[in-house]
Amino acid sequence: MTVITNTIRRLRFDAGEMTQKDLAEAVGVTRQTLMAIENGKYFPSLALAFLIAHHFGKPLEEVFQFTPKDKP
Amino acid sequence: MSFEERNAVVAILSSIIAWGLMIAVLGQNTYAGGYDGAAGAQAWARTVLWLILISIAIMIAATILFNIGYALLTGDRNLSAHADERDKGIALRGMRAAQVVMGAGIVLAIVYLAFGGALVMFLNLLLAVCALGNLASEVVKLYHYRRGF
Repeated sequence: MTVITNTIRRLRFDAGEMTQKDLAEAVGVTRQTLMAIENGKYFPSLALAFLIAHHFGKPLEEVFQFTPKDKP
Repeated sequence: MSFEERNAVVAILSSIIAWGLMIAVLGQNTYAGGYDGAAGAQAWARTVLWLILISIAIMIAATILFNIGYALLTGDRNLSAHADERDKGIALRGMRAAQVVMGAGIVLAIVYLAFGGALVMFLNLLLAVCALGNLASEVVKLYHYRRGF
């Protein structure tokens, strides 16, 4: 099992309280999709993940964090 | 609620109405013997063609009314029909559900015909299987929109 978390909420806050709608429009998805990504309900494609990271001017690993969890 | 999610809701509601109408009309005609005889299948097909046109009209009207109602109630004027990667992924899941339901249903309908079932009832079953497959697809889509994907 793997867990992917993200810091999009904090990055939006740091970017002057950018709204979900603004970020969604900038990266070409719906606000609902961005909300699902933020809440960890949807894992974006690699291209979209890079696009989001690029939008904030950050490397991918600063936006998305991958934590492998070993099976017990 | 995204445009695609609203579409899933509308499709479920309008499917229930449209297919309810089809079941009522076709069931009534079938049991009244309207499709008996050599030209029975052609009469059935003509009825279904009309019902398909009516269903399309119901779907269009429901989509327009639902989206207007949604915009008025929520103040969300964004009626963009843009489908992103999540929408496409969810649509694929829906299509898979429809394939499973239709595949199983078609086999069952063929078994029914193979064991002496009436041709018109077989056609009705095929139509019902398509309706169920479509409904399953929309329900699965709505589930993924609501519970995450």
